[in-house]
Formats: sequence, structure tokens, C-alpha cells
Amino acid sequence: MNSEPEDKTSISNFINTNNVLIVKENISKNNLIEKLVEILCKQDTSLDKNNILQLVLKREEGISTTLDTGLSIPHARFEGIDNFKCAFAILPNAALKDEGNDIDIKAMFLFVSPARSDFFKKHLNLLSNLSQTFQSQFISDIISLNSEQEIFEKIASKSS
Amino acid sequence: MSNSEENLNTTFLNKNSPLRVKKVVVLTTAMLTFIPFWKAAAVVLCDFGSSAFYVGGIAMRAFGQAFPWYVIAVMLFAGAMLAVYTESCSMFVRGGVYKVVKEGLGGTVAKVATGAIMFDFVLTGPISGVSAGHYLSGLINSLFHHFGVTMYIPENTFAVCFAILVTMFFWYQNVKGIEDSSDKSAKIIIFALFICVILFVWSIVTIAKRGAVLPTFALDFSDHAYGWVKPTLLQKIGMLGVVMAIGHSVLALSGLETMAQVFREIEYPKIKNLKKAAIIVFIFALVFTGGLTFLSSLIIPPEIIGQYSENLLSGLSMQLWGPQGLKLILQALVVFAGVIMLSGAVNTALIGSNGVLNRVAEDGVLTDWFRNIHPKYGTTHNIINVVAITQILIIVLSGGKVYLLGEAYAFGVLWSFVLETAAIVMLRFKNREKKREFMVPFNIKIKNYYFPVGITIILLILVALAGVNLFTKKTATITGISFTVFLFIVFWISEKLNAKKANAMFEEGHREKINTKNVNSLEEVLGKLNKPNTTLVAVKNPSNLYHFEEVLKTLDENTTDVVIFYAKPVTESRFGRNVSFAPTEENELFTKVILSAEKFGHRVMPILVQSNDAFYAISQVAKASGANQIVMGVSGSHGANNQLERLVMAWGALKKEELEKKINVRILWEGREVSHTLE
Repeated sequence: MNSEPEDKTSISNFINTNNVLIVKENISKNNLIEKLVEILCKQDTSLDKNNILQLVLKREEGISTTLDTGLSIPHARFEGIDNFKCAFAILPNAALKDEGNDIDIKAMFLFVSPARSDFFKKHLNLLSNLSQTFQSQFISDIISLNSEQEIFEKIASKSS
Repeated sequence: MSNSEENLNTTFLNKNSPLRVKKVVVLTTAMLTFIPFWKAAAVVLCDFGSSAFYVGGIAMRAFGQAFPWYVIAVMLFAGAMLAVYTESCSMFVRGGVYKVVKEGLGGTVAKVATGAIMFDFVLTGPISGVSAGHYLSGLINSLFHHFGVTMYIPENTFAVCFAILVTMFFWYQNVKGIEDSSDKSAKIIIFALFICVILFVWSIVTIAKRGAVLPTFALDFSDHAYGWVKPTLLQKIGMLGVVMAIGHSVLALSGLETMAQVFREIEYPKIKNLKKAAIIVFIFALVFTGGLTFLSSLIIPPEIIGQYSENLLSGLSMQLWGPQGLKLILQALVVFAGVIMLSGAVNTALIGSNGVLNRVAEDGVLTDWFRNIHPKYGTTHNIINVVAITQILIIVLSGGKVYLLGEAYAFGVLWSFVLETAAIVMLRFKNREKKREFMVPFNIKIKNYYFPVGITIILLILVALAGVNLFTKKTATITGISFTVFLFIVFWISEKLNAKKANAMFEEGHREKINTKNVNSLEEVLGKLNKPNTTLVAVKNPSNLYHFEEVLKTLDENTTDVVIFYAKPVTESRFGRNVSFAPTEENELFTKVILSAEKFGHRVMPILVQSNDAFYAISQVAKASGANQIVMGVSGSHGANNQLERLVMAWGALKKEELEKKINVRILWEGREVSHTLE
């Protein structure tokens, strides 16, 4: 793993085969968020799923977290954790539209981060990193992959 | 996709991205370029200084050979009035007699003051145009005489025709909206200064050759100059004669209102630069108007000086010692200087009266007819038409007699000064907690009050002059009062007719006339930025420009360009669907931006883009401009953190390579700041 400056946030640090999901069926955005929250909470059983889900959905009511590339980044800041907790999904069939937008959501990266003020810079850096990494072409490449392992390796190679 | 859309998008975003910036508009308005103090002084002097060409002759006809002393006295008093105007500008960036009197003495008195200043403006054009016509006809007749041509141009008729032509020329320019640049004013004044130096030097040589006798102090009033005052009263009250003489000379103060008009255009630091401008105006006027008038009385023999009452400075040039041919050339130069300065004053009178009536109309006092915009040129042409027609009528009625116009002239000047000065005295008490960068000197501080001794003395002098003039200048009193009453009735009726609309306009507030220009790409407009640093200020809410003013307070204009940027939603905002803001009226927003920029006198570049996502637009503009700082106001509905989140997301999506320099993002609101660095 490459060493990185203190505030840099490499996406591959937070993704593994256990928190990647390939969604092929039709699904609503809120349901997808709920699924990802479940995955996230499985990784850390101390997390309260309903609490996190409410925080993420509340954040979704504000300024949009979906980019024109098709990446959606629902997230929330949560007390009681000391690092990012993430889950990632791809939608190869691209049947999910962000409400009120013309944009098809092709990938969703959900995360929670510590609510501490000293962590906010890392929080922002992750958001920036995600939008810089998941450009249109990259998302097209990823959604053509067939397994969680391939997705993880693709992201890892991009992040390094 | 058109080429222009290609230009907008290929550098940044996917061609099919719905978030792309759709259109770029640059707002161009002269209000956002600011001028240095010496250009501001030149603008004022083009009006104020032009009275040098006629005040001496008018004063001489009124009270005889003592005229130069009183013209100098009036020029010295101009220093006091400049101080009064400087204080009024320190209170109101967009001041002027209507605003100041309204704040100090109320709307009714403000209408009276407006009537008075309008009387000044509608007379400034004719007296300047007719005077210029006399100078020109005098030159032509001199040339005819020199070359033995037996023709003679009737000067009054010529003056009337010339004045009408000049008025019509500037009427047309003002309807088309071509504003006189301060550069032109500066060139005119520099030329006038050049002529002034020649006249001074040549006059000194003449005095050295021939000697000179100081003009008498004795007053010799013409019958007309007494007005309704009995001459025997002067014997009982000696000072009355002095006050009367000053009253007949005070028309030389016309043009100082231009100070208030030009203040909004002065660059940072505004009051400091205004003071410098005021000092230049004072010295120039004292030397040019006072000095040249005095030299005229020394050089032109008393027995023939009366022949030059309509063109005194021409008389000065013709009576100097030296060859006739050279003197003719000098006369031509003097006439040229006079014609361009006086013509400039005709234009200033039209611009000034248009400005004053627009200010009144903004308050809903005038009916919509006055504010109708020309379908092609976008100017308030009805106001300009009415003023120009009035001026032409006055020119015709005057028959080309400068003295007659001068007789009527002082009413407007004096009474507008009286009311403005009185208003400022009142505001010392009404707004005593309001800090002023400048106060007219001689104030006695008692507890929290600054008792205005100096300005009160000025007010008393003005009241005395205005009061005496009421009785000694019949033409001025009758025509001035009639005009002021007439205009007051027009205002009163218009205001009644406009009552409902006036309330709505008051709630809406003033909207600036803003010119826009579509450009093809961000680079086209942002490529003009050339300072080491660029600050991008994102604005949206006209009521939330705190962050913009904070930038202006600490701006170093020598090193930093400021781009004011508004991302107008193309359709209902797709992002932040629960955002409840209504699409902002950009005119209202940029009016506030202009007012803030004027307050500080800093040059800014305002642009408007159409976009579906403000944060993408901010990122695009920041990248295109090479900004090293982005400043935003806080969103009341989402908060600074969410704004930063969206911005970094948009920035990350646009960023293709590492930045050469970091961009500091600041979100400011009262007393608080959240910041982040984009890398």
C-alpha cells in the first residue's frame, strides 16, 4: 500500500469485496441506500442501522450528492466512529434516476465519517477524491465488471 | 452543438453533461470602473470652471469695476462649499441635493431643493451655450476686422443659434446614452490649464511693460442690479452692498453639484481621493476663474472693458501687449478652450438634470412617463427631451444676452446650497452616531454632539446671500420661484398619481440600469485578468452580500482582480431539490453589487452564467480565471458544511490535473468563517 500524506484519503483503503454490491434488479434510491447501510453496519456491528439510515436520508434532502458522471455519494457524519465506514454499489442496468434530475445513477458510494471538526478536512478530501476518481469512463468500465473482486481490483489500481 | 457551446464545454465537461455552463454574460456598466481623483476633479471643473468665461462680465455689468475682488471672494467661498459637499459625500455614496435634503429635512423640502437645482441645470446649458456663441462670434468678427473683411456677425443672434445647435447635439448624445468619459474632461482641463498659463505669463509681461492699476473696491451698481432694493438703503447698511455684490457674483459657484454626481465613480479610498479632487478644484478655480478675471480687469482698459462683457477672456487676450497676429492666435486658443469647456458644461447640465430627475423618479415621485426607456437606446429619453426643450426655449427667450441669463442664474445655485447645507447641519443631530470620514471643520464637541460651528457659519452666509438676492435679482426671483413652484406642483401631482406604484417601488428598491454582453466562452472574458491574484466571489442573494463587502474591505487592488459571479438557474434547480429559493432577479442582485463596489471604489468584474448547478459553475469559473480564492456567502437553508461538500465534489469532477496553486475557499457570514483549501 502506498504511503500517503496525512490528509489524503485513498478510496481503496475503504473498499473490499465485502462492501461492494452489484445491483442488477430495479431498485429505488432509498432502498439502495438502505442496502448499503446494512452492508456498512455488518462491517461494524456497533453501528445502529436505523440511526445511520436516518442521518444519510436526512442529508439527501439537502444539496444533491449526485454527480453528472452517474456517481451518487450519499453520506453522513456520525459521532462514535473514528474513521470512514463505506459501502459501494454499481448498477449495470442504470435504471435508477436521482429524483428530480436527468441523471442516471450508475454507481453509489455511501459512507459515514466521524463528526469531529478535525476530521472534516479528510471528509471533504474523500468527497473530492471520489468525484475525481469516478469519472464517466471509469464508471463505464466498472459497471461492465462481473464480480466484486474485479471491482475492488479496478478501484485499487485506480487509487494507487 | 454550436461552436460557442463547444468553447464553453470542451475544456471542462462531458459534452452531454446537463451541468455544463450554458451561457456566459458579462455585465458591463461604467459604474464598475472607478476613476482617480484628478480625473474626478476634471469632470467637476468642466462645469464649475466654465463660469470663468462669463462671470466677470456679468458681475461687471451689475456693480462695476470692483467685480474681480468679488469673483475672487466667491472662489474662496467655493472652498467652504467644497467642504460641505465632501461631508455630504461621506454620508451618501449616491448623494446629491435631493438625497441629502430628503434625509435631513424631509421629502417636501427635498422637492423644493430639486426644483432649485433643476433651475440651475436648465440655465447652465443656455448660459454656457450662449456664452460660447459670443466667444466664437467675437473671434470671427476679430478675424474679419484683422483681414479687412467688412462683414459683421450679429453676436446675439449667432450666440442663440450656436447654443441651440450645441444643445441639440448633446440632447442627441444623451438620448443615445453616450456618456462623456472622464478622459475627455481631463484633456479639456489640461488644455484650459495650458491656456491659463499662457495668459498669466503674457499678462505679467504686459503689466511689466505697461504697468497696471489695481481695480477699485468701490461698488457702482447698475439700476437693474438694485432689484427691489432702494439705493438709499445701501448708504444706511454698508455691508448690504458687499452682500449684493457677492450675490451678483455667486453664479460662479454653479457646477459644484457635479461633485456629488462624480463621487460614486471615484476609486478607493473614496473620501481621501475626493478631498484631493476638491483641493484641485479649489486651486484651479481660484487661479482660472478668479485669477483670469482679475487679470482681465488689470489688462483691459476701463473705458473699453464694457465692450467685452460677453467675452471677457477674449478681451483679455486682445488687449495684451504684443503683435496683433499673435494675439489673434491666442484669442483663437482662448475661444477654443472656452467653446469646449462651455459645451462640456451644456452636456453636464443635461446629464446632471437627467440624473437628478431619475433619482427623484426612483422614489416614485414622477410618473412612469418620465421613466420611460427609449426602445432602442434604453435611456430615459422623456426626461432628456423635456430638459432640452426647456433649455432651447430659454435660449430663444434670452435673445442671446448672457447678462439676462446671468441675472436669473444664481437663484437655483444659492437655494440648493442653502437647503443642502441646512440638511447637513440637521443630519449632524439626526444621525450623530453615524461616523463620517469627513466633517466641515470648526466643531465643538460637547458630550456626544459635534456642534457644527463652521458649517453653521457657511449656512448663515448662504442664507444672507440668498435672502438679499431675492430682493436684488428680480429676474432670478420671479423666474426661479415660478419654476420651483411649477416643478413642485408637477412632483406633487405625479406622486399622487403614482401613490400605489411608489410603495411597490419603495419595497423593491432602486434597480440599476445594467448593460450586458454575451460572450462565447469564459476564457474570452476571464482572459483579461492580469493581476497576480484572482478572487472569485459567488453571489446569489441580494440581501446577503456580507462576504462580498468583506472582500472589498481588505482588497489590495494592485495585486488582486475580483470577479463577481452569479450562476443563474437555467431551469428549476435540479440539485438540492428542497432548496426553496426563487430564481433571483439578477438586476436587483447586481444593483446591490454595484452599490457595494461604489461604496468602496474598487473595480470588479461582474459575470453571470446560466447553469443547472451553481457549484459546477463556480468550479468552472474558478478554473478558467485561475482564481486562488473563492468566497461565498452562507446558505441559510443548507449551511456552510454542505456547501463545501458540494463544491469539493464539483471541483473533484472537473479537476484533471494537480493545481499549480492551491485555491482557498472561504464561506463568510457575520463574524464567522469556514474555510478549506482545494488542491
